[in-house]
Amino acid sequence: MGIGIEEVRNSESTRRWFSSLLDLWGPSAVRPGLVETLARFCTVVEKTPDEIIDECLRATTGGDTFVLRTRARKQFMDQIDQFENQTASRDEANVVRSFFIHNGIAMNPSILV
Amino acid sequence: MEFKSVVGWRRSIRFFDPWRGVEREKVQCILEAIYRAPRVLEVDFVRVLVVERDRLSPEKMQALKTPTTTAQLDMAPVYVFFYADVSMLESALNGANFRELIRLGVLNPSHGWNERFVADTATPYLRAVVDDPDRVPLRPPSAGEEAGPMVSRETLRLARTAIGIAQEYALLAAFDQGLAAQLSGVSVNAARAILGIPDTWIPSSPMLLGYHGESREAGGQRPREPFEEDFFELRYPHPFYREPAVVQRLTAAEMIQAPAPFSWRMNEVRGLARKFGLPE
Repeated sequence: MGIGIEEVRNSESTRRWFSSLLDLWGPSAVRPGLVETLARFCTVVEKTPDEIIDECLRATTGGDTFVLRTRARKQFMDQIDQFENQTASRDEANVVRSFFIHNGIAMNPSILV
Repeated sequence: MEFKSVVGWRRSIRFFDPWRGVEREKVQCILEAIYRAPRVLEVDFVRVLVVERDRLSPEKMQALKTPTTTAQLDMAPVYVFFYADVSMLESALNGANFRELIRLGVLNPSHGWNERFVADTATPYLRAVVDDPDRVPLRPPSAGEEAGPMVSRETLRLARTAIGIAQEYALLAAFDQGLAAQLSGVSVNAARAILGIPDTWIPSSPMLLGYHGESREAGGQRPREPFEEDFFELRYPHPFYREPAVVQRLTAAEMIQAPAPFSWRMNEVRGLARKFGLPE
């Protein structure tokens, strides 16, 4: 199952990611290729960006706060590691990690030395 | 370093130089400082275990990591684990620690201490703490593991206080020697298994130790709430008057430093993230 670039670009979680990147780093952070990389990851896991985030964050009863689902996060962290191995690119994997982080799902990989 | 300067330069450092180990004598100096830290009720609670990162197998390293502390565990060359042995409260019930301090002239009749007070009041107080019916598990149950033994809530509070004091001595001793440090998170269950920790030891955040991988300023001194919201005199909420001349003197002594954010901080963070292959 392929996930369309436009679907990825227009999803709420992608817009939230870009908005947060802009706030923190300025316009240069929203560089070409981010959506394409995320779309490739979405295709691998067969989920849209919003579905990925929804799996990691469960809304509380009131609906205004979220609880992190650590098992789901761990599963996606492993899939990002696999994605990094397949693409042989830390940069591409970090684009995906950035998407998670700026949607409120904290994670960090091992350092490269 | 001068004490005020040590306090001023302490930060929670999150980027360490991963290639530079810590000299053993500096580690020992930290342990010697902890050894001299105040003890809660004269009980020998604190236990500290030092581990060099590079002596852990990749599997053990992986097990210690949490999703948000992976990078700093990779970077810091030394981990200092803090525990409190709650069984030491039971050991103190014979009052030997108090008697020793009476013999040494530390606890004196001038302050109400004598052998009878130890026997009739001080040690029964310790017994009451140990036996208090308000009990909690030493550690909560987790996946595949039963809860730890039950102890009184007050025992746990005293033990955690002892760890907190030890951690603060350790942090200041580290920065006094030009080192960088941070109290961080690890998987406590993994640490217990890897380090062979006894059942009666309660864990706390280990101190990651190394040399600065980021600037000593680390973006500037962390902001605090207004002084007057935290410090009072005579009666709450009457604020403690903050004398500007004292602030000026402490600024000159580097206890009070330029606050975050520094204009160049985000460039530093981005540069460090790229250097270590971390996300932005």
